[in-house]
Amino acid sequence: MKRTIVLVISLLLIASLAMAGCSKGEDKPAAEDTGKTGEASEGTKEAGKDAPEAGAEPEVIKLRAFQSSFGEDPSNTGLYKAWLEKMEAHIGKKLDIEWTYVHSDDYPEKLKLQLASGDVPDILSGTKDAEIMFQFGNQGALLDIAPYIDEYAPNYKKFLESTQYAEKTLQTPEGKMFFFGDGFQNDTGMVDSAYGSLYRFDIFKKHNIKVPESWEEFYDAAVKLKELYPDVYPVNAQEWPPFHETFYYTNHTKGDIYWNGEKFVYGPTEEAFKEGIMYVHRMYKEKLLDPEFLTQSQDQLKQKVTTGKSFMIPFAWLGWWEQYSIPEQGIEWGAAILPKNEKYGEPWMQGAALPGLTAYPNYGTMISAKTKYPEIMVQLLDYQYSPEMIDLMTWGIEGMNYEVKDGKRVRIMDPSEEVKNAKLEWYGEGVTRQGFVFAPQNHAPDVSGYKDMPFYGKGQYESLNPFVGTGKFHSGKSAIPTWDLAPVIRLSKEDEAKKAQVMTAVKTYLDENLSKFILGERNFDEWSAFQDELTKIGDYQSIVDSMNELAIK
Amino acid sequence: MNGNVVSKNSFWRRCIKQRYLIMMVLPGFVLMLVFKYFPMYGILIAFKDFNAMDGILRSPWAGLKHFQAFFDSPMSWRIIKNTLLLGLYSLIFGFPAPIVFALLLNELRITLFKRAVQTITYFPHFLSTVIIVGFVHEFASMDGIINHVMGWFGVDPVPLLNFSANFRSLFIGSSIWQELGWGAIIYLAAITGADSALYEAAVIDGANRWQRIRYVTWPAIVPATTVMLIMKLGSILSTDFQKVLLMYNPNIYETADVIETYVYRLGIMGTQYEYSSAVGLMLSLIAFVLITSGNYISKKVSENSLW
Repeated sequence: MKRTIVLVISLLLIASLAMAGCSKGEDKPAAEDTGKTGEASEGTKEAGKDAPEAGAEPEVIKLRAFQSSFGEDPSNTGLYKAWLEKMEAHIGKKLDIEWTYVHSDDYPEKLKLQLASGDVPDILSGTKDAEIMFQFGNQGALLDIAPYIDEYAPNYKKFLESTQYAEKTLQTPEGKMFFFGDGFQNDTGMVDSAYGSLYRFDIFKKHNIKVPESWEEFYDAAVKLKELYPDVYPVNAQEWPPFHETFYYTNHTKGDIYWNGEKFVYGPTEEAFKEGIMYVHRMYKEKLLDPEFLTQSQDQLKQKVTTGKSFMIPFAWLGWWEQYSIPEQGIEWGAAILPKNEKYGEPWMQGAALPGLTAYPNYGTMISAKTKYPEIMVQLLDYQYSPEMIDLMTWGIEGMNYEVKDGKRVRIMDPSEEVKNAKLEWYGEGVTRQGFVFAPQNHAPDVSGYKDMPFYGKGQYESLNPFVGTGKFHSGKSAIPTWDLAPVIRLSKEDEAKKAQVMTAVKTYLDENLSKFILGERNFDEWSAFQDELTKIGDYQSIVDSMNELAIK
Repeated sequence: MNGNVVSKNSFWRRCIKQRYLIMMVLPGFVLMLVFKYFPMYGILIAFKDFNAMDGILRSPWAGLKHFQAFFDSPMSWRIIKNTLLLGLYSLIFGFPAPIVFALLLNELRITLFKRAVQTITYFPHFLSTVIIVGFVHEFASMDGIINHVMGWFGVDPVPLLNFSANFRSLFIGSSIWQELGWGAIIYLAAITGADSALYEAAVIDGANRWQRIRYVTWPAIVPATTVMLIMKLGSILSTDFQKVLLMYNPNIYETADVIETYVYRLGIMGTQYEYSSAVGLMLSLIAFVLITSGNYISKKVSENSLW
């Protein structure tokens, strides 16, 4: 009896192996297919060239779009119809688009399967990991759009021209371009951000304490508040970004390898980095900083800041002010830009909105190498980068999605029934995106989505949109961190693995020791010894060198 | 020849006879097959330089490179030590807890109270790890219950999760609290299986409560205990990854950073899938050896074994 059972189990195992074998078999022909398509596309490209000129009547262009989605199907909305109308007018032909939406969580996986199957839709959403797009491109699955840019993509060309290091980050070393980079338009005329410092304005006003503009003033304010409220820890910190990261922006350094404007360097070896850690330690030691700042959850923090247990948060997403303030009880949180460190000059911004037009080397859109109409596909995607299409896809339609007040456009946050019924809601953000995903983003409507909040700067309390406030009290481009404008380095697979192994060990050792220095478990006399230990943990310098070699080539 | 045919027939006949039983087993069997056996060929990437375009089977072989990389790391010794200690302490403190609890429950004579205690204690098992860790954070905070109690003895409150010395106690303590009632169910069932005539005989022979536990109840649950112990041996190296990840912070890496969290930071965040698979495979192999040898020893020493 035992033997028969063993027999049955082994038979089943063999069966399962055979099934695995089948899937093995399926892999191969698919891959051969993609190989063939590379050749085939040469032929169809020729055919495609004739196609647009052939017909004088408005012909129908049939195409398939494989899209990353955020949960809702936008193809039945009023905005979609407006988008389609403009697209058709632009190319002078009718469009018949077959949309396939895949949830963004599964998209990269499904995309790989789709491409490996050899059946590649004409237009595809890009991926966060640009490496995937480069790989598919190099294997012949994607259209190289570089030869089409001058003639068919005037709008996208403007994005490329105003993007720093575009050649390095959006093209292969041979100059091939396998995707349209994710577009970002900022026509607010400002470099701004939604991050800064938060303070209990009502307490600061009550005791006539100046809202800090420098780290010295920050310390003085904390000491004064501690004197007034001995049971309170005046300073607290968000779970993210943590306190010590404030100094990355005010001292112009970073806790990792970063681009300093000229080359890659390892931040923790810099004096500016040490100064930041010493400052946090001092706040902790003098009981000005909540001792739970390293371990508390967001809920615990919120409880403290809404019950008068903390009055200052050096670094936060400014949108928190609304949840932290309780107007009925007179608790008023407000914002200021990060305190300045005179030694290093103007503080930088976290998440700075770059001015003008930028093409980011990820997401965006791709075109199949097999498409019948390469020129038209390029034209269609390029049109999404035009000012009028960006307007339509991010602002929507005037009177429906936005209105003009004092010559400025303002988003209608609460759409009318009429708009809802016509499915004309503002579809630019979050749930669904219009057109070929990922189309360019526009900064202005995002700004318009934030409420005005109490803001302090240059000696005055005001009520400002957080973006407007940060933009107003920073001086533009010089507040952009150098690492936001860094060239993107693509290491070889081997070097990438080495980097992950070395830097994970180094980062682990760094992080735990930073906490020790901050909490006083290690003394700052040991800082140089600590630097030696760090070198022994991993050879980060060789990683930095190999990155520089590629960047400064 | 003839015998073969007969045995074959009798096998199929038995299958038909037991078709309902087989149908009941089938869903579980298919589940294991699809989710545990089919994905197994994925471990191949532990020996390969994986390339998403080429797929698992056509990526080039890389030998034992990724295993080597794990041991080359300056952190490997520490994370192995942390993993082993956490597993070992869990075994030493966590394993006997439900047994003791079941024995204690069994001694209760008021059924209503016994039921109530049982229900209350097994409830935390159904809470997700995120919520349990949320409790731990609250309990361990400056004005949490632990500091409150310590305050009675004149200890100043400190954020307990800031210090590496506290991590293991908090981790294992909260696990025991969560799994105590649930873990006791199997032992309570085993105790129920003990012949009540044995208790009566023991009472007549003048055995006191302790002796009844020692000589009647305990032998009744030894088989269940052995099986549970063997299974537990296999999980010494597989810490509750999710819980550690939620509980730890850089300041307590020294005791809290285990193999799985480190590999998570390196392999998943750094997209080194081959490396993660290599470490995963290695852990599974060790677990396999532990279970097999545990079973072997148990079979030799006692009559109880998993197979």
